Amino acid sequence: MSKRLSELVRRDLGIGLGLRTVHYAHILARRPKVDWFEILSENYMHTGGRPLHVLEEIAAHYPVVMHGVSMNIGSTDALDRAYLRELKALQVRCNARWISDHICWTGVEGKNLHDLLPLPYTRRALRHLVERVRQVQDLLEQPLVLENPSTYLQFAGEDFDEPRFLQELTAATGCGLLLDVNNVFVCASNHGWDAEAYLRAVPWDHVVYFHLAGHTVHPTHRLDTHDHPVCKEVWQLYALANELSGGRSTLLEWDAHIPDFATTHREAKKAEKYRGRRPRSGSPDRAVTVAS
Amino acid sequence: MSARVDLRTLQRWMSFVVQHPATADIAVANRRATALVPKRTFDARGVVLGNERMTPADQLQVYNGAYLARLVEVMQGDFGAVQHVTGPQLFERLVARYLTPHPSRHPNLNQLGRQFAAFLSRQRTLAHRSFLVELATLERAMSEAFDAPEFEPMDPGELARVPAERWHAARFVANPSVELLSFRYPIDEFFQAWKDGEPRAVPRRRASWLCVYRRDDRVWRQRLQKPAHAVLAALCAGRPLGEALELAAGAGEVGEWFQGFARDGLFTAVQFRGGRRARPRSRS
Repeated sequence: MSKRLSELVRRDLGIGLGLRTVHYAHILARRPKVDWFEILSENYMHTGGRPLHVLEEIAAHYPVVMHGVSMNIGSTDALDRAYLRELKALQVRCNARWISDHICWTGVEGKNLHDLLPLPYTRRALRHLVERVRQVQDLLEQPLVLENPSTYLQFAGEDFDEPRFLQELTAATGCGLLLDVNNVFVCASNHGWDAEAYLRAVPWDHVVYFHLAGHTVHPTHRLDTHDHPVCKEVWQLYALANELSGGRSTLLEWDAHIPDFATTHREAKKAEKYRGRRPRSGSPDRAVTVAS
Repeated sequence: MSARVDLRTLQRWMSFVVQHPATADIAVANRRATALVPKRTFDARGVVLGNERMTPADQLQVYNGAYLARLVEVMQGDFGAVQHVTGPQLFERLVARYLTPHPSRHPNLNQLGRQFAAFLSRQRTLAHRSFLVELATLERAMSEAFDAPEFEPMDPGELARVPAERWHAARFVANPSVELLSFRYPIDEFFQAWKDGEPRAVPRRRASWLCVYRRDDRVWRQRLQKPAHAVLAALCAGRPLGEALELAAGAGEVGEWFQGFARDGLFTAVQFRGGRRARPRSRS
């Protein structure tokens, strides 16, 4: 593991919130006590007005992390180098501690579907992804931090399960991981995975931070909608993730039906209860039940 | 799948299925899809596994349904007044039709609606088409002003330093958010009424002129008279002040217009031939 990644992993920013426009006025006026904010990178790219000025004001008072949805790292299209250059410039502008995106593809043949589409966990896809992550890291001159996605299908003929894919990817590239605990639960529920076994197989020395969020339950599947409080099962998994990792920076995402700032912040602060738990051996005393 | 279909082919296939305006199960049987992944391979769960609760097509439908829903929501945000006129169902159908020739090709969704007004102008059976085209043009102009590149408004002192004998030759650099619009309908009046929650019926034709711009991080709309619009358009095109003002010769308010344009931050610099900025008067 690179020294740079090791620094990111050790840098515990505390409990942060996803920065959303509906909270701008409150944050700017009240300067609430929040450990850090995560921005959606693309909201501050290809724009020159208020978003950037708000970001500068917030970055002057809080640590900021960048989280993107359009790197298209898993696509078979060429990497968008202009996008990556702009991403890097934005990082300089807001002094973002790191840059994250998703293990996914978002489009092909020049189109952007603006969705986090799943990659098949095959050896060929892994080789492709490894090469792309290396290129991006060279360009950004830092470890890229990648998030496990929520998925609603699995491909036939895969060579790895998701945790093994993450192990191979991180070992080959030295990239960091953003472990979205809600995504682990949603995928486990949708695909019948063992969420606890998943967490036990995570390459923890690459995990830079956690995401928490709510999701929607449909009769046939769970959908990662970020429009509810974090559910009990995800808190349980988060507790286990803290035990296994010793704690990491943690971020609450809330993207639809966003409540007022105080409610959102209160939800995030629930994470305090679980943080800082020491790693321990043996089985956890709580079983995580996954059912759709 | 992955053993049978290479990653590029898989992505092209899934991209087609997800974007298909009907449903995933219709999309996978389409010739363009089956040329990439044969239907029998799909039916044999050779690409997407499915599970006991969802067929492979059901699973793809999660992505297909989310695609249109997400982009309709973005377009609703950008073209709320247009949607008010069309109603939500027609608006969604229009967006679905729009996305086929104009899919997003940009990392940022703020570019999605760039061609929407032009698209509406080609919908021959659309009721109130010419009005909707102009309304969409206004809403798009507001989005573009919001996202226009950063700029520094002109220092008022810069104007004060222009020697009187050089005023006629002064050229102004428009701030990059400025967009001048001319309409056949009273578009801004309609838009303001809609924003105020007092929507009106589609109005009769009556020409109107408007300037949309950003100042202090807010988007403003300034209604103009036709001569003022002509003067401002000439200035924004880089014509010298003297020449631009001649377009409104006889209009008593022309000086006030110009002062208003400058006060509202529509310019970032004053220049003279050769691109030099106004310089302070010589102190010698």
